[in-house]
Amino acid sequence: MEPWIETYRGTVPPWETDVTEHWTIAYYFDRIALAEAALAEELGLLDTLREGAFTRRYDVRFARELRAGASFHIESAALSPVDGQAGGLRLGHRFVDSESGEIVTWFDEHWDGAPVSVAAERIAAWDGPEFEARPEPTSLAGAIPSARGRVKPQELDEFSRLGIAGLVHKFTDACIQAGAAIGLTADYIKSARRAYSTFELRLKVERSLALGEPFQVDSCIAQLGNSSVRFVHVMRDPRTGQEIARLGQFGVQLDLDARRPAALAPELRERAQRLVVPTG
Amino acid sequence: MEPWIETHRGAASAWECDVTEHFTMGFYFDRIAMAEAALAEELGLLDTLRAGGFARCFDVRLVRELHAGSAFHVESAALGDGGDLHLGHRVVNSASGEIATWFKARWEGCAARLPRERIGVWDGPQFATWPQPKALTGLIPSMAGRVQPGDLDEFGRMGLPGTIHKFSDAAVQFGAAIGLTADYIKNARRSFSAFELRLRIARWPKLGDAYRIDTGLAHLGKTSLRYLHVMRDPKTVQEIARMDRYGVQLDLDARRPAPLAPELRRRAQCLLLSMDP
Repeated sequence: MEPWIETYRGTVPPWETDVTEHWTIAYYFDRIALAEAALAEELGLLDTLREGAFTRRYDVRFARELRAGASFHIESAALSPVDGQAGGLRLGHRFVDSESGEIVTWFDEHWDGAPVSVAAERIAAWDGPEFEARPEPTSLAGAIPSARGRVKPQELDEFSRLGIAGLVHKFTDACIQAGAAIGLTADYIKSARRAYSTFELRLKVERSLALGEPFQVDSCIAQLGNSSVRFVHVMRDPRTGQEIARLGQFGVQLDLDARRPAALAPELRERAQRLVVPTG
Repeated sequence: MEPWIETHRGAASAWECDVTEHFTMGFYFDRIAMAEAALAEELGLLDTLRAGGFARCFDVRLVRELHAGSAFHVESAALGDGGDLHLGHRVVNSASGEIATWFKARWEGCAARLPRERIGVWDGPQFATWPQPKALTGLIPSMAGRVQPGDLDEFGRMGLPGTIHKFSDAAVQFGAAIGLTADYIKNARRSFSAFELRLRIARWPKLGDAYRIDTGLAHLGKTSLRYLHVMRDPKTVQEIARMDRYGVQLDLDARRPAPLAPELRRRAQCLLLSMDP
């Protein structure tokens, strides 16, 4: 049997696009949640996924944009481990533009320490990008509050806990808050035709939340380039301070008409500098 | 401890904006529902809110618009206890620090007692009493449906945003009845924009419960209109909720009030209710 299987097929509705005028990242995760569950079921691992109790990591590379009305599908496969090996499960997902056949987004997913293995014939080769290690903040003392709320029913997944789509929507809010803090406000986006566009994500989900549980997100900048900004968003339980999830979000300020990176204006750069934290 | 606490922080998503090209009302209430639950938990009143059994009222003043991509947060406090519990919420534009919207909430007959240090001072607008219609006979049907899973709140009943989204549907229906149709909005660049709301929710339907809304016009000015929406149980005709919505016809480019065209005014006149002074 071919290890790569189709796990989702659909489209981008206009109401899932954002101020950057393309498909917003949380909806990629909405579809990945479906693809992941479909693949897990195919591999006999749906109960493992349902139980949770392991850390999930997603390394994501956005190669081409998807816009309103785009048709796409997802191909997914297990990448490791084969029978008898330990070290957790690695899965791959490819978003394919159904019209052109081009791969537009890559998801390299890990279930850290999950006690599972997969038959050798179900293991696929990864033909996607390698993800280099990114330095993490050594302190979050300079981070600013960027999201706060409670888990709503609509944010639960099929396992009745905060799903990855709901989770990433919170990080998107955090990104907009952090953007506004450096001057990328709604007014600026509209008048200057500039917005933030992500090209790489590192998401680590250590625990999940149940309905009605509170969360807070703090954000900082781990890297500031000419046009690029790497935000780090950390979600915690405000009652205990325990980390729930962390997102490293690497992107550029995009010229919304040329669809090309554009250098940050001096005023924005100066404000962004204030959010830069030490990394190591 | 400071009575006013931050109860929500987030942003207005592009898909949460409406034909008036700003953050739509139902999503303000989506955030207020979260803010209210967070405040209730902080005050030790989450079980009271979960149990319900009392009417909730919201007086709302929209001062500045929020648009797609606006970052905002909500600050909340208890304002008074006794016969009713009074709560306040301020929606703050996080970029400018300006207060965009004021919510004054009341839990009718909720006899909770709070420590004095938890009572905040209301620095928002005062809400005048508005005249009410003599009868509801002039209302026209504007919405009907059943409670869907996506309408439920964390307590398993029709939530605030679910309820308000129905009233937004009712406002769009009523607007169309006076000529503010989708085509007109697109071509004339005019739409309805609320600046003040009075909401009272007397009961909370459950999943699959049916409801209907009827709407009438309680005031007609040069640019201003006041829609009165009444949501009822179609089987018992019991009132579920009522929303009084004061707004203007907005020039979508200038973001300023614009007088109604004569044809719209003529049609609106036909739907004007007879009011008690």
